[in-house]
Amino acid sequence: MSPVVIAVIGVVVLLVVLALAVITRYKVAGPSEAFIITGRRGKKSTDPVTGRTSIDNSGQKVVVGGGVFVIPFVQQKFTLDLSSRQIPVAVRGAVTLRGVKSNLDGVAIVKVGGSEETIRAAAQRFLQQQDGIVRFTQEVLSGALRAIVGRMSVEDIIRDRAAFASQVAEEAEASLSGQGLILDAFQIQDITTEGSYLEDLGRPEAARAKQEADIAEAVARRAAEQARLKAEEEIAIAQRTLYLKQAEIKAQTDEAAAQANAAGPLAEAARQQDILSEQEKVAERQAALTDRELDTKIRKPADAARYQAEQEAEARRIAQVKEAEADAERARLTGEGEKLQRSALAEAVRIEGEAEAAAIAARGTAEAEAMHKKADAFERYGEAAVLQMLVEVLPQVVAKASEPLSAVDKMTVISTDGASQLSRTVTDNVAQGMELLSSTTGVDIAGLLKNLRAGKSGSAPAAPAAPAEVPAQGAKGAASDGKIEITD
Amino acid sequence: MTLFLGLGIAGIALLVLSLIFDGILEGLFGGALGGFFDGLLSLPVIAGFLSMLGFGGAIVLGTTGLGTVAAIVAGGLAGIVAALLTWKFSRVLMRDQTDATPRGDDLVGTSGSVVTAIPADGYGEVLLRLGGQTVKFAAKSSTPVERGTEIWVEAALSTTSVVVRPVER
Repeated sequence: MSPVVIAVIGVVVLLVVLALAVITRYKVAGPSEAFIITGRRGKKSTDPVTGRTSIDNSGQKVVVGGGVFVIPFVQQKFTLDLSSRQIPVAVRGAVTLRGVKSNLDGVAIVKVGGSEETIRAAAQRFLQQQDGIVRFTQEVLSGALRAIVGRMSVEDIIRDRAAFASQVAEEAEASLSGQGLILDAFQIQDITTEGSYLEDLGRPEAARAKQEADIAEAVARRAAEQARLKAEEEIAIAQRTLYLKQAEIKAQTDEAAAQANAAGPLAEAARQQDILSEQEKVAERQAALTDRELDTKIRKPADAARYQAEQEAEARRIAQVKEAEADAERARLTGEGEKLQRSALAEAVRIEGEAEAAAIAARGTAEAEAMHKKADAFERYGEAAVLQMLVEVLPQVVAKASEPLSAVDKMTVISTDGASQLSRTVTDNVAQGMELLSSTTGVDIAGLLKNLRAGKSGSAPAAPAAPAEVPAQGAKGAASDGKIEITD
Repeated sequence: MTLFLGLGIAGIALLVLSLIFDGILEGLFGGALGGFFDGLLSLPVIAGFLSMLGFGGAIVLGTTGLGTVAAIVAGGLAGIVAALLTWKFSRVLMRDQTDATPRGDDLVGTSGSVVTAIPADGYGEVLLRLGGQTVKFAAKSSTPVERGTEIWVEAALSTTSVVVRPVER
């Protein structure tokens, strides 16, 4: 191998190695990491006012997502991870604005800021302990959350995102920005309160929702029920219509069936009627025949006989008339004598009647005379006449009084006095009759009798023979009425 | 000839060692001479110069009939060229500026929108565009600002909070 070839190969190798040596000093940062290059001197600057000179930290180069040439040994490159870190934050027993104790679970997304100042600030604090970011920040955010909760009410924490975000931003400004950290997001995941505060918050709404649901259910049920009932009603109506139709049809069919059933008997009856009418005709014919037979057999002979009898009677009548005429003629001839006889008889009767009338008149005048005389006598002997009349009447009274007894068929007397009670009864009746007379007529019969016995100065009545016979008891009304028999 | 090759191999070995033990050998030179010439005498440059000198000298010596002096001169020139190239390359990489890391002062004048309404006396939240990325900042304002309003950033209060005012068009 010639030295020249070795030299040429060496040149090539040299060039490659040189390029590598240069390129390896060029560092490229990823999109989520920052390079902090230290070791170079910062720029010297002089404040024009105070005149103080200061060296800024521009020697500290911050590179995000780019390349940088790091001079070995002179400069140092540090890497800071910019990616987000999820930090769970939990607070127990934080007191809210209105004193409700609450427990909150949240999550925070924290990252190192992307600007140069934040990277520098974060590098100072966390470069050698980047895993500690989560731990430190967790403590800080717990305190911050507690402070935020203390300034807000539970309802606002739950509902007012803007207010909560504003509070969070304020807290982050106070605690995180100085460390170069950015709070990308901070959200409450869960909030519970000691006691039933949150449940009580929800209870009115739940009650209202339940009420609405119940009302809706009830309304729906009512509507359904109404619809069902309406449907049933319509069904019932339809059924009623159906039944009516069926009944109507049944009536019609029954009528038709009845008619059909009756048709047989009716036809039978009609046939019977026909038969009967036919029979009637037969009977009529029969009757006519019989009539004719009778005509021929009986009536005609009867008529003949009658005619014969009539003829005979006529003949007899004529004969009798003739005979009567003859008799009449004979009677007329004899009547003359008869009339004479009759008139003589009538004359005799008339004369007899006249005599009788004269007799009656004479008798009447005599009676009138007698009555006149009797009246005069009465006038003269008033009391005597009245007494006589009374005495004439008395037997009738007594008879009337004893009438009840006379009607008795069989009498059994039970008395201590024996049968004398009966006669006492009769006398009692008579006495009562006297009393009755005196009380009704005002005539004191007893008195009258006494007077009669005392003054016997009155003349005797002019009655020639006044039969003062008192009829026996039991004879009915056979009293004399003072009738005077006139005998010729 | 052997000397030249030895120089070259030694330079390569030095570089490999510097690669393996990153920065240790760097201190031998950079630590002492750091600051001068802005990395002109850094280890890769010196090692490159030596190695190139050796290999260049060896090549000239082996290929041409010139003497050792001529070989040294030629190797030196080649070494200088290599050293310069290395230095230039390093300078280029050093000067290569990526996007500057955003600073708080860069916020002033940027526009954004409110994501949480800003109360009169408290913090709201605004989304700002900073260095091509959207960042959420806590924001204060002299007047209450409704959510969704477009705002300007007036000042940076801290690394995470700004003062804003609504845009009046």
